[in-house]
Amino acid sequence: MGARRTVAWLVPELPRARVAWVRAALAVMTVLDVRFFLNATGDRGETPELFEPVVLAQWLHLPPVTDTAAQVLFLGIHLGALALVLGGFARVPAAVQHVGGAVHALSYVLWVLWAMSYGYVSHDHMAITIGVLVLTTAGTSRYSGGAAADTAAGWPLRMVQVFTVLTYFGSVLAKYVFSGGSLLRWVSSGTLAWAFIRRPNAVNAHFVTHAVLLRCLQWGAVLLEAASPLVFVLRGRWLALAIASFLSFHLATFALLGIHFLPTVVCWSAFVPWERLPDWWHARRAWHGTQVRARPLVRADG
Amino acid sequence: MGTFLRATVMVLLVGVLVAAQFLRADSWFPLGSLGQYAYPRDPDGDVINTYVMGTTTTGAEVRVGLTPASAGISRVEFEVQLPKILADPDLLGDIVEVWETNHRPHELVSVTVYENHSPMSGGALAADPYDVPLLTWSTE
Repeated sequence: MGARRTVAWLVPELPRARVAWVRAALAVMTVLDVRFFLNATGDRGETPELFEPVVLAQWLHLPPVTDTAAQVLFLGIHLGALALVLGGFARVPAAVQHVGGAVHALSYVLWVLWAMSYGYVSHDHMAITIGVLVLTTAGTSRYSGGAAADTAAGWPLRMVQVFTVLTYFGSVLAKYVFSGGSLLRWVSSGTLAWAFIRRPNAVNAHFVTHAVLLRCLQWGAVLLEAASPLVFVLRGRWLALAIASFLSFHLATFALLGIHFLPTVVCWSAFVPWERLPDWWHARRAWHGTQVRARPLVRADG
Repeated sequence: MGTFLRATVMVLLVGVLVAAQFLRADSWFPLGSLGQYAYPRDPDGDVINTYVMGTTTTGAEVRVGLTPASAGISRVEFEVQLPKILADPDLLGDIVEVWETNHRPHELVSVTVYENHSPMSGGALAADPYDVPLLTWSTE
């Protein structure tokens, strides 16, 4: 692949309308996140001595979070998300999505940086954190924008796509490194049994004593993760099938471990051609209208 | 932002992420080590669950739930901090304080940190679990 083709792949022309849809999807997810999943930031004010800032938090000289700071960020994420969802409609002034996006990105990134600075870092937040930041660079985008495409919209969408896929492929690299350079060691390990025992539930109780089955599941997980970059060469139904495979993988890990990975799941939306949705919807309504008009009138009393 | 700059930024960020995997740089979030469940657990070792029990002023034994909403800290974070806590058990004081605030009118006179061991064999659960007390800390 030549340099020009590489750059064209890294910074592709993708539909600007898709940015509005993906922004809205990520914005809704961030609200759910701070309310139900990564909601610990608001509970950290009482334990400042456990603050172990991640590198970015150190660079930003963040002190331990306070209750007030957490409440301000919580509000900023909600208002910013509302602005992003509403800002996608053509009648809403562009400034709403620009200001809302900036407030949202700033608030959410600070929230997750604080959440990850108390000893445990969850890696399902990589793509969404990067996505929330870079999608602010795309400029004005509307749900009804159609297929019009450009690189200013394509780059942040490609960033979300790349870091979504790298969440899986990078974890294979991590397994390779943590296993001393042998993935065979990881798939032969007791990692899944370890995970099931630490997060016991009615489903994984059926698996935890079956070593061969657990090993097969570990092989399956690594092979799926290693194959993740293939989504970039798939198109149409094959791409949909591949995405469905990863969503099924997360459904399985949710049933077995109670781990939903929703912040990453929602980032798969960057692969979905949402820009076709308005046309599809209008065509569907028009077709229904035609059917209703074409239906012969039948008198109720015969 | 120009096309070349955008491409460069993406390549650099991917490079940081790849480097973080090899350097096990967990703290490089959001581009840190994707190490969740990446460590190969000994298929013939023990699975260890850490938990904390407290004794209230009425003599009742209660579980001190290790979640941020309950005690200001999650179980995983508690386990990460455990070496610090073992070296300086007074750190438990803040956790107890947060727990008491969230569980009024309960007050604790002492807490004990336990490890629950589940023995594995061949990568599957092989025997009944057992508890090992690590330390008891008095609140007075």
